[in-house]
Amino acid sequence: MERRKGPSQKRKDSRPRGSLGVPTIVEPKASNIVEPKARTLKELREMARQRGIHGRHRMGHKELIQALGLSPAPAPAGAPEPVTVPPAAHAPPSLRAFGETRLVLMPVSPYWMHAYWELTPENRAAAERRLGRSGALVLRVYEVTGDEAREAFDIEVSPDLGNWYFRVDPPGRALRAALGLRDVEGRFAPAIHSNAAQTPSPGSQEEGPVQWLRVSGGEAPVPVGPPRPADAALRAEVERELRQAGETAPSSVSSWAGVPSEPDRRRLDTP
Amino acid sequence: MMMDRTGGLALVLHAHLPYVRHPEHEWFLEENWLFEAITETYLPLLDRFERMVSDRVPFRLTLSLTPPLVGMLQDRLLQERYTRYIERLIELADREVRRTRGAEQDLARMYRERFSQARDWYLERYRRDLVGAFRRLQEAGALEILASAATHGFLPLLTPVPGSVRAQVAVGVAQYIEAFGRPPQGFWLPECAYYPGLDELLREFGLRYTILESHGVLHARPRPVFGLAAPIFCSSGLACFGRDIESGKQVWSGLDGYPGDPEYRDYYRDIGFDLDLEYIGPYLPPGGNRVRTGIKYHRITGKTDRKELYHPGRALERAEIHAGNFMFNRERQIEHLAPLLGRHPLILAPYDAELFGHWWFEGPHWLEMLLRKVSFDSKVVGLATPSEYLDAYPVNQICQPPPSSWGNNGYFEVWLNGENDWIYGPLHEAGRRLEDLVRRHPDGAGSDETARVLRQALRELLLAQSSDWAFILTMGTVRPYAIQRVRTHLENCLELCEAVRAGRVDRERLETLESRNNIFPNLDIRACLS
Repeated sequence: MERRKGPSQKRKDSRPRGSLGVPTIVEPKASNIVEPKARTLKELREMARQRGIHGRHRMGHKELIQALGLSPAPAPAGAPEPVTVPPAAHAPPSLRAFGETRLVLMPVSPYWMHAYWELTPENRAAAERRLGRSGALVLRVYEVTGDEAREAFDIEVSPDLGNWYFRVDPPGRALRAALGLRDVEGRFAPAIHSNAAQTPSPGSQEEGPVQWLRVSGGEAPVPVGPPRPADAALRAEVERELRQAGETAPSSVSSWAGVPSEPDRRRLDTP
Repeated sequence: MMMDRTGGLALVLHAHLPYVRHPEHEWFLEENWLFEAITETYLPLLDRFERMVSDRVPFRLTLSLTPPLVGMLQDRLLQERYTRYIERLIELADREVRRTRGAEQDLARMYRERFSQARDWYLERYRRDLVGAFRRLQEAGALEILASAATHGFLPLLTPVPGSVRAQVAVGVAQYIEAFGRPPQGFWLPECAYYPGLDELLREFGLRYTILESHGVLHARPRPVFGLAAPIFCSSGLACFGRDIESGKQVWSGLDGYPGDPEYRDYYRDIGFDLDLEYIGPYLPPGGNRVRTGIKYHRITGKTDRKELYHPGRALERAEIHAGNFMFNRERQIEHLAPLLGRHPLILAPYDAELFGHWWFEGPHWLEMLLRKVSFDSKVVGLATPSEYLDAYPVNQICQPPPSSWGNNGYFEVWLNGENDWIYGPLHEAGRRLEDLVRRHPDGAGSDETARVLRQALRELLLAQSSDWAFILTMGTVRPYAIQRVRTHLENCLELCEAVRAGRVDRERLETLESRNNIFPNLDIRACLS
């Protein structure tokens, strides 16, 4: 069993501020993000039912959000909390669950990472046995540097089958995650580890060192010298292009399917 | 051609449609995507390219024809259905000639002539083989055709199952060699979506270059000294060309792009919506829903609902002026860049092929005028393909591009958000199961039937992976159709995997699926082994 101090304590103790991918609080902007507050009472009750929360029928909107752990616990001073986004709509029933415990991370954009998972009852029970008591389902996110994975933060998640978007700041970080149970003392029993995934570094990168490569025919690429640093005029030109690229948001050039929909389209029956 | 001028212009057209083919329905609306594109884009482009070749215009153009599009163009059933489609359109245009008078009647005649021409070209000139026509243009040195991923899969989001990414590349390249009779030089990344490491895989398949969205090159590490005006090399040796910004805006900008000119034909005003159902109904999908027919009598006019009648002569004049303007601007750009670089700058301008003719009716004319003007009139800009540029400049800077795409905001959120995220779990799971089974039956071991089932399972998986479905779910255009496609193909794939696992193959079911989802007849299942 993995023994750890509570994550918030650990964060305060061992981490110089700004050195890690510790997310800072920023209001999510993307339209796909569903704030806990925006969920309907019915949706929250369903989530509560899935987690077997007692007394859920008597709870209001606020209490349900709290009981589900959707509102972040008050953070100790100086420790920024991750802004997370609860799971969105699920797959058609036939593709929802596969009876395999999985956890997959995928980058969305420089500041957002997506995780999806499935935890089987057997694997949940095994994690609980290792913990020796019940615990909350937690997505523990690690920052990967070289061979080292350092714990960055926890996200309390609700269902055994779901997905989550979380903000990562600063961007350009390699992350891994584990899904497991965390008890009241903060001890963590992982049920599964994810793949490694990296968010993109946005914006222009530093200049140099300028290296050249010769690629011709079927031969292996050959480095060639000497380095040729850019002169001032060329550098200014590239900076102009960078500004231009910043002003022009890329627009998906297509697709046929992007045609405004024909009104009153017929419904399709499944073949 | 570029070398005796100051700089190069690489025009790139990306031709792609998702694989839509429904033998189980007599009539299927989404198959019209292909038929409209054949009539309005592929045939007019082929005709103009061939005319330029016979006029000895030394033009160069780069074109991607994605594997699903190639597969549909080669498919017998869709070829039959296209013939039926164009015959009906000719019949409708004929009725229009009788219904209309005056200037409107002239337009109806124009459509009747165009549609009849399309039918004649399709059946007689090309004998239904448009892929062969494109291949001959490549052999003539006019076109450079790019390979692409098997079903336009969004590769960065398939990486959790490396075999899925490999299958997309391997199957795409294999089909290319079959269809075009030579190995590809360049690879069109679906949605320009790149992640570090993908270059190594493309190199394994002998590819020389790919194309990225502007920031994919500009934000590479270290910052590229030539910016967008020259390609960069990944350390693997794959060249990445970045999309030029200015030339993109001139054509694509909804505000001041060429296709929005008031003289150009209006795409949205269409007799499918304008005329009485009693009259137009027989030419609309069963059920009486209105759709566009392709017969449109109005010009864009301006921001008004009172559209004026279209005037083809004036519109073609505009297209010529716009072609001249485009060339003029590229010349100024090149004159500015060349002394800074100390070598030929290259402006790479990719566009959706279907923009030309389908959306922008005058687009094929604009393109032909531009290609002719640049070939004969310019002393500054010369046409080039990316591989010609690499032949001339085999030494380029080593930079590592960041993950990027040409979707909204430049990363992956168009293909991964609350509208479509549910597809990835099942896509990955099906990919894992299939890869696992193929590993255990390396040559479909045991019986031919196992190999057949695994091949069909891979077809279904690939069809489910098209980036188009995730895109449609985000745009909300034909959502039920996209959901149905993802779902059906994944269910089929999982069902076939289960049949192999349990050693129980339903022969009849297999044959049904084989004839229904028949893409890639010569699929090699080992493609999905990572």
